Amino acid sequence: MKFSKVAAMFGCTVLLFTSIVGCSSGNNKEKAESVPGNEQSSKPMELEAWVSNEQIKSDAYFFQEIEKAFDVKINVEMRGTGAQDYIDKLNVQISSGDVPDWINDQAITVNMFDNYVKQGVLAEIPVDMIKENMPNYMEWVQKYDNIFQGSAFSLFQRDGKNYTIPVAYPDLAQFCVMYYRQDWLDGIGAKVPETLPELEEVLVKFKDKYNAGYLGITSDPTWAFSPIYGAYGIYPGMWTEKDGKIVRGEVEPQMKDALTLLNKWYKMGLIDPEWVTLDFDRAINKVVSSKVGVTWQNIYAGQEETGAYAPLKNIDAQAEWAQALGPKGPNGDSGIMQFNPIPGVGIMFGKHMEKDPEKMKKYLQIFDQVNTDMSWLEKRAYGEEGTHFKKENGEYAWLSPYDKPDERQKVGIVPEIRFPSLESPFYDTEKETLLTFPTNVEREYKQNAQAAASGKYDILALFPKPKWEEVSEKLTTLTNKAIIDFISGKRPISEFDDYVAEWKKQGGDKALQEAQNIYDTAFKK
Amino acid sequence: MATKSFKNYLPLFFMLIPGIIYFVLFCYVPMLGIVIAFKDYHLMEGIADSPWVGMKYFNQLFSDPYFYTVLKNTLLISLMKLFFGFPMPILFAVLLNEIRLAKFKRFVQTASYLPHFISWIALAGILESILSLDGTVNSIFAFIGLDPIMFLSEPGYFRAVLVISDIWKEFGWGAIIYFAAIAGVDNSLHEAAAIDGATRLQRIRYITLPGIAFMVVIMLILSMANILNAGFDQIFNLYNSAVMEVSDIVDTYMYRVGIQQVQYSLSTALGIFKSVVALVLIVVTNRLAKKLDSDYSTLW
Repeated sequence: MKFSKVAAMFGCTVLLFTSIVGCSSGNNKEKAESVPGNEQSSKPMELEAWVSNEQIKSDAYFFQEIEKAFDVKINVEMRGTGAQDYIDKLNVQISSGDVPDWINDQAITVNMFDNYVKQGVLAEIPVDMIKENMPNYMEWVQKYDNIFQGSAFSLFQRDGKNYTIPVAYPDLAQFCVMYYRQDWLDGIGAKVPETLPELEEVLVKFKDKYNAGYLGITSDPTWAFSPIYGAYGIYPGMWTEKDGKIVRGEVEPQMKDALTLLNKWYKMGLIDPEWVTLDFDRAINKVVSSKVGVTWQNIYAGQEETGAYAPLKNIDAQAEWAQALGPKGPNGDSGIMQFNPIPGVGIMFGKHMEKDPEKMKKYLQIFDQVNTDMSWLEKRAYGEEGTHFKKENGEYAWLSPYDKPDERQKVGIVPEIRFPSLESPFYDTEKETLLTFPTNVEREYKQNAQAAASGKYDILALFPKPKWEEVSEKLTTLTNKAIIDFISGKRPISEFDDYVAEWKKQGGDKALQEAQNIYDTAFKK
Repeated sequence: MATKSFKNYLPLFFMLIPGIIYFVLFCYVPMLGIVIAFKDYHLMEGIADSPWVGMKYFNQLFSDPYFYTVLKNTLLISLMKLFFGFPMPILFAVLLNEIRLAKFKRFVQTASYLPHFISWIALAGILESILSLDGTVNSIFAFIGLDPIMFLSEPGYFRAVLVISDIWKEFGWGAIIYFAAIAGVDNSLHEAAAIDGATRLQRIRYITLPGIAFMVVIMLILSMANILNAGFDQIFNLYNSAVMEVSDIVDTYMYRVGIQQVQYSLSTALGIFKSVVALVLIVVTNRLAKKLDSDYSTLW
């Protein structure tokens, strides 16, 4: 009796004790990190970097080089396997009070940015501090003035304070092209279509001979048929400029013509009927298994070995892709949607960095160097010259055994390191082309591919649009449903004007006005 | 006498303490956070310093006409799942109980609750594959000579897909508790009935079913609490623009709006709304159950 009583008491106290210990040990980690730079100068500064592959640690080659060159210590964190994952984890972290040193992802919209500013999550980054500590960056901003148009540091200013280091990817403006199965074109004896009627002919023959049709690589109705919309001069799903006015493609009169044509094609069986249900990965699967003859994608997809369409070659060795401009419509318009070369709000710092200006300066200096200097860019992409790669006649090649991805993973030379992003956020077209397309053959590929990329992008992406944000979700749902129904024929195309009226009534009118005001203020100086 | 028994049970109280601390710390204290719904929550200022806005977010919710579409979808899908899905585990448990061969019985039972452990992300991929135009189902249709149906993009079929796949996934797991209840029915009743000449079906109807009635009632009351959870995981992974109008539920709508605008206060307001509805439903169902037959054990 007594023994069991003692055992029970002992058991309870142990339980109690462990639960108390378990609660407290979590706090110490936080305290150690937030002590500002009052350590002795012999202790190196601790900086954060993040990776999207948990195998990469701070012993990766790139991080080692940075630690040596700048006398810092890099703490590597695995912050999610992709953009959405990163943002989800970021928001969770922020809401528990643990704001990272720096934040950077293209998928962070200006709306999220404004929320962060309002909620006091971000540190002010004085423009003078940037000018002092990032000389290379300032040169780069000057070089791409056609993109920034002198407004680099005013775009993301709020209440007179600057909160980001703006970034840009000039290649994004010429990013998406048509993809035609060249081997199938040869098979039916046709050349690459240049007009809509020619495209229709090709699709009919593809259907007869190969039982495959057109598939846009997204299930978003405003984007899936971008080349067709572009042929009528409109770009649904984004804010574009037309004859000095800001328009929203989906409610433009030409949309009715585009939808009529798409409805006709859908009835003829030229459009893959599953387009609505397929997400990006499954669409790529369809393309790679030869179930699609005509599609559109970014220029990287057709790259041999690394492109998204590369697996097609393994399945069908005859497969070839032709890249081309979008087809021309009745008025000679053509185009495929592109992306704003300023894809995101830029690099931000957490609020606690305001208390540690020395650390912030260090980040600025290092970001400046490793993202603009060619030798550093090479280190990130290829490792050490002579050990991991060699450079011959301006072309890059892996040295054995680093031509195997597994070996590269062991030393940490993988495209999953973000410091502060995968490739340089201060993207220099010349430098990056050399690195991403390491051989002259590939460089030619890129040049040809880019020549076929043309179209408009969302020019208001970076401006806060509060009226639009209020109704965007509603209008998007309305638009998507309408487009799907018009194309499938469930709703007669004669009701298009009703749809436009509904769209405007639900708040679209106010949003259009707001957009026009923003455009007039920002662009008509 | 009270103190005497208290002293005896002291070790038991001590053992309770860690559990109580856990519940207080992680379940009750966070409940105070619901005040976020009545404030304009600013992350860095914390809950205490964020300004009060009263019913602003509730008004925002209720004045949005789309909210009612979404609410209607939630209730419809939930009720469909309840109506068709609630009897399934009971039926399955009762029928399987009649099987004599123990090994077969156990095998079937284990196989039946395996789908419960598959996440909807994996299951959605499988479903998309099976229900696609060249998937299993449509291939069978083609073989018989029927036209293919795009189950996942036809609003008319989509809800059926949701309900059927959810029932398939959960009926095995739900049956476990009924197996336990059936095992609790006194065997001597069955023997007596068999001696009196009752058939299998009569035995099920007059002994087994009444024997597990108490469990059925409790499970029904509990499932009332989930009326506004129509299955976010499942719907989020399966829906698309074509079927949005019939499958958009409160949670998916909130996810989209919440992600776009990082609206903590709005989401909390919605959470409170759901909890209040669930509470009211549980209490009402509980009262009803008591009224029907005071012998039923109920929650209160």
